[in-house]
This record gives sequence, structure tokens and C-alpha cells, in this order.
Amino acid sequence: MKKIFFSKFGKAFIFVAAVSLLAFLSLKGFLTGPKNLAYKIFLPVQKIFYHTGSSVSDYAGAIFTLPEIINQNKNLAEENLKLQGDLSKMSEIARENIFLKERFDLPADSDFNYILANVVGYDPVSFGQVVFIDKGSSAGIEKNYPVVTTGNVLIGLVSEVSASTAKIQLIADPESAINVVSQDNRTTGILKGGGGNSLLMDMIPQDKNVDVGEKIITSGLGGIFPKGLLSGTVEKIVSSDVDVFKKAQIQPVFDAGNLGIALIIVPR
Amino acid sequence: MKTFPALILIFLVFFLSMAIAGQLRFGGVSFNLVFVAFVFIGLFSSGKTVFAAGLFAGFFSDLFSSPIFGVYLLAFSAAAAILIAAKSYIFAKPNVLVFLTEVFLAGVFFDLFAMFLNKFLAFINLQDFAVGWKYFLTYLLPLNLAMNLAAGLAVFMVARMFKKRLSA
Repeated sequence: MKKIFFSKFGKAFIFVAAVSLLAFLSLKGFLTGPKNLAYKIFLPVQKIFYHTGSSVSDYAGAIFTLPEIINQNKNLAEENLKLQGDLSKMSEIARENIFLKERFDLPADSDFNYILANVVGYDPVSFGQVVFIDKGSSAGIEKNYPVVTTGNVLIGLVSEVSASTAKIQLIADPESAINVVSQDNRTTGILKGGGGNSLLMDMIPQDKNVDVGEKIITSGLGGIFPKGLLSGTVEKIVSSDVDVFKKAQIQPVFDAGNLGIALIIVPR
Repeated sequence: MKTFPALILIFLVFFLSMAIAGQLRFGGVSFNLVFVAFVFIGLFSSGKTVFAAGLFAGFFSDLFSSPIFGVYLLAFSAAAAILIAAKSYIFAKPNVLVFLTEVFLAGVFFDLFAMFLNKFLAFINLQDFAVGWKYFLTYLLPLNLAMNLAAGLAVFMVARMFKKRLSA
């Protein structure tokens, strides 16, 4: 009996049983404390590696893409001029909007607070699209808070929080599903992550249209994401007439590989 | 390779991987450098060291990547057992071809394990895991394996260069 117990199979059985117990404890939330402590210990190490890695890759990338950068700079200068024109037009509209709201006694737009956090790492093992940030529940971040980057571009939502760090599930993660609407045609759908870089807008009614190049924004339905956050642009329509719903392939607006900062939207 | 340096290597590679996995993506898929380092250790170390490295890699992967603690611990331990058996019975000689073959075969096992796990977790949580088998088998798995092989080749060449420098 003793021989069988300490044989290779016996040891393997004990190991699997111990791991199963760990998994059970983790499911029941008993490992949250030790996990938080581990995050606290490893976060500084992670930060050092991330900043060093980013700097090296930025310099290396700049060397290889110099002609592209020059071209991009030229295009950005033109775009900047155009945006300045748009901005002055928009501020006029905003002023008019405030005036009309005051005049008709309408409530002001509901605003949000933002918490600025730095991205400090990517999930290196799973197929999921998850990034880590350097702020957690002690900064006021809670699970399911939406996360944007500069320009109100939606990048995902907080999927796990510890005291000092949080995980952000990017919109391209296979488990992500967001209620969206196309900006021009006002066609609703659900934006799903497909792993890799792909995003799919599903559940588009057959009688509604979405155009290639059209912007996709959050619809505000479901209560998690505020409406109007830019989520992507339509790349192509991928379904046929025989399907119950139409589908569209969506191009994400942000570069998941170069996320420097994340703004966590906190409801007021 | 001795156990302590192997564990240090896994530790460093894990955090390096977390730092660069985002930048070095192709088609949204990144290579699994932790796994490649683990297979590399498997090629040049004793059974005990491979198992210890597997436990260490599994621990960190569970800590940072898994919703349930223990799943990657199991996956890496199973991969360690396979690597140890393969080293004893099939691939006795450590060379680049053996290393890449091990990266490929262990990678298939590891990715399938991860896919089954995600499907299972989605099932018990009554959710839909959007990655279908067709997409996984035709896009994610081949791309991940190819990237792991490329990373493996790079790791082997760097190790060889260091070995030459140290022996010179």
C-alpha cells in the first residue's frame, strides 16, 4: 500500500488533488488575499520590465520605420489643420447647445470622472486580450468600469481588480460583447471580440444598413458603457442574405500593442 | 542547467514576456516566450529541474493569466512530464531540430489545453466563448505555433552565441 502511495502515480494523484483544491479555493475567492499580495510584490518588477521593453521597442521601431514616420508626420500635419477647423466649428455648436439647454431648462449631460492609469504589461500566456494597469481598487477602480484611451476611444473594461493593479479586458478579447450603434445609419448591433485583432459587429438586423468606413460607437444600452465611445470603423460586411442577422468586420481604432495610458471611466 | 538558474530564467522571461507581448504581435497573436523558455530548459536539464521550472512557470501564468488558479500549473506540469518522457525515450540528443520539434509538439498540446479550458470555463459560466474551433485550428493555433517556432529559433541561436562567447 505504502509502495503504491509513493509510486509515481501516487505522487501524480496527490499533485492533481492539491491543484484541484487550489482551483476550488480560487473559485470560492479564498486566494484573493494572497493573489493581491503577490501583485503588490511583483508590480514594481513588472513596471521596470515594461518601461524598459517599451523604450527599446520604440527606438528599434523608429529605426526601421523612419520613412513611414516622415510620411505619417506629413499626413498628421494636414489632418491637424483640418481638425483645428472642425474644432472651432464644434465649439460654436457646443456654445449653442449650452445656450439652448439653459433656455429650455434641460438637464446638463451626465459627466464622468476619469482615473488615469499606466499600462504595465500584457497577458503573456493565454489567447485572451488582457492588459494590466498600475492602479487598482485603492484608487477607486471597480470591476466592469469602462476604459478608454485618448480621444474617448473605447479599449475595454476592467475585468479583475486588486488593491494595486487591475486587468483590462480589451474589446478584441473573445469574451467581450458590447452594445454598439453605427454613427451615421444608427444601426444597432453587438460588438464581439474574436481573439487576434478581429472585431465583429453581430446581430445587425437584415433590413438595416451599415456602410464600409462608418464609425461604430457604444450605444449606452446595457448600462456598462456610456454612449458615444468610439469603438472602431466598419471594414467589410461579412454575412449573406440568408443569415438571420448581418455581420460586419470592424477595424479597431487603437493599437493594442502600444497602449501607454488608460483612462478608467468612473460614474459620478 | 541547474534548478536555481532555470527558475531565475523563467522569472525573467515571464516579466520580459509581459512587457513585450503587446508590441511583438502578428495578426493580434503573440508568441509564448515563457513556454519556449520552459521547453529550452527541458532540453538541457534533469527531470527534477524541468518539473520545478514547469511549476514555477505554471504558478506565474496562473497568477497573471488565469481566472482560476491551478490550470496552468496542471498544463505546465503535464508538459513537463511529456518533455521528460520524450527526452528519455525519443529525443536524447539536444540539438536545434529536436528543440523545435519539442516546441511544436508541446505547443500543440498546450494550445489545445488552453482552448479546451476556455471552452469549459465559458460552459460552466453559461457564457459564449467567441473563438470557434474552426478559427482556432485555422488561424490562432498555426499562427501561435509559427511564432513560437520563430521565437524558439531565436532563443536557440542566442543561447549558442552565449555558449560560444563563454567558452572562448
